[in-house]
Amino acid sequence: MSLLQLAWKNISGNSLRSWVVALCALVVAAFALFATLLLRGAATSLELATDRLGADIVVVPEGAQTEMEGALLMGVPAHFWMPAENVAKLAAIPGVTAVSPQVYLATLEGASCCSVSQMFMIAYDPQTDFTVRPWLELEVPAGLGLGEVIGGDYISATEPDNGILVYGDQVTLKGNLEPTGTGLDQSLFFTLDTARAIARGSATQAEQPLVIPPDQVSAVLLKAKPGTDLEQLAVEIYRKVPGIYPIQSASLFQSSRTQLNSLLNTVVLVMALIWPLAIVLIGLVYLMAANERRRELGVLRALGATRRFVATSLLAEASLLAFCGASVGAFLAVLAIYLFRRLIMISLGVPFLLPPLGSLALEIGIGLLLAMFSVFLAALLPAIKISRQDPAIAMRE
Amino acid sequence: MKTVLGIVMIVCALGLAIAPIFTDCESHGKLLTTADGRSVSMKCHWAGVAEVAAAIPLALAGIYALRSRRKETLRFAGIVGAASGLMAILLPTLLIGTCGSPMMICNILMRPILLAAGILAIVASIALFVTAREPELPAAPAAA
Repeated sequence: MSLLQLAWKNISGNSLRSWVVALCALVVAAFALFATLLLRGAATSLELATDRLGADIVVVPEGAQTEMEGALLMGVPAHFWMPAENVAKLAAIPGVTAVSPQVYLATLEGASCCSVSQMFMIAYDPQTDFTVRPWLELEVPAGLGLGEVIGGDYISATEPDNGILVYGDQVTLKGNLEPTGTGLDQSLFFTLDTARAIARGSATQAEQPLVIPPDQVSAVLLKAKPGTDLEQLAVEIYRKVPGIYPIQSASLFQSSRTQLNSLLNTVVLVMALIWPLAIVLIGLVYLMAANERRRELGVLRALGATRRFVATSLLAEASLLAFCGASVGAFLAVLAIYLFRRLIMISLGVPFLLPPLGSLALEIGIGLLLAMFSVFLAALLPAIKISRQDPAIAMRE
Repeated sequence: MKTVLGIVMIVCALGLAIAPIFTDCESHGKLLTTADGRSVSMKCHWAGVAEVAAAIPLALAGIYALRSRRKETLRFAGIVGAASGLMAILLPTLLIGTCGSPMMICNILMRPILLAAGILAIVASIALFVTAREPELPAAPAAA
């Protein structure tokens, strides 16, 4: 009988002990992997969203900062306006190289004139835009025309000919952007001309007309000269243009970053409690098992098994159980995070992006190793203790 | 082992049948308004209703896994369970589907619950099929 066969026989021989050990490994692996995937996914997503924005400073009406972050991060439709004349004022500030206005809109909720309910829509000015165009270059090199839109990763056509109904107007979906895990994935992008055309048609085609206030924009995206002190520039903008608030890209999503840090602290704390507890529990289980199996292992020694063989068979049993438990734990963690990612995003208020397959496999591997190491560590002392016992005494007791 | 797998299958069946009642868009007061002003149920509601058709055979397979000791019966319960789990996955994805917006409650909660229950039902059913063994016969009485 090989070492593994002996270990497997012992596992199936005492199902309660095996279940307890496997369950501990499952909990350690599942929690560690779930927390790692969640925190890394959120951090990656925040970086991607900031990169995709492509602006050094985003200018919004004063008091609309939180709404702006909610729209970009969670896709919650935002409704705020500021005078379009601010665009020229901002462009005139020294240190600013490019400015581009954007208008934020949303589809109606539960209305048949809109294919998708409460969808966040971003209308940009193709003449001045420097943020949306770079992403469009792969999908639509010529740029978007009238009635053409590009969607985030979640957006799909609902009407024939790649169409989506927006306020009763059918627009053509020209492609999808790479996923970011943020609200941008569920947003629709089109030009200001398309937005105005939809607004004109909505008066007769939609259940409620789309209103775009004349000479108003929602936000202005701004690019600074290379080497400019962005903090100083933001102060200058705030001083010169009243009623607006400049957000530096580095400080964008600050509330989410804070949320993420507190989440990280909680996870570390919970892990610091769970891990030692699991090791102690498994250690106790193996200590009891070692005492219970004293005679059985004594017989094994009397039949010629070396101390090393006895200790190794116990450790092989522990490792096998840890591997099985941790594999199930890793499967459940990945399944839960994949299926419930949107619920997690909304509940925790953080964006989330699944890691690429290679990185996911590496993280699963680390989770399995951590659980196996924990069980190995817990079983090590009882295994050494029982292997050192004299077979004659063990069999007599 | 078969007891645990049977319980998993029954829990999944209950999840498939009950979860849509509380997690489809209609349960949160969201209905589609047609051009003539009527309010109609969205398709996630019908996907949820259809899940009952997958939940019933899955629950029966789970009960058989708990009660039966015959290898053939356990294997058949495994096949029925796997087919029901697959059906539970196909209904909200390919056959009927859910609402268009990924941020609607049916896509955030109902669909993931149904998919998770379907996947777990398939895994448990396959495990039941693979681990099904003939019951051990009682030892023959020793000859006098």
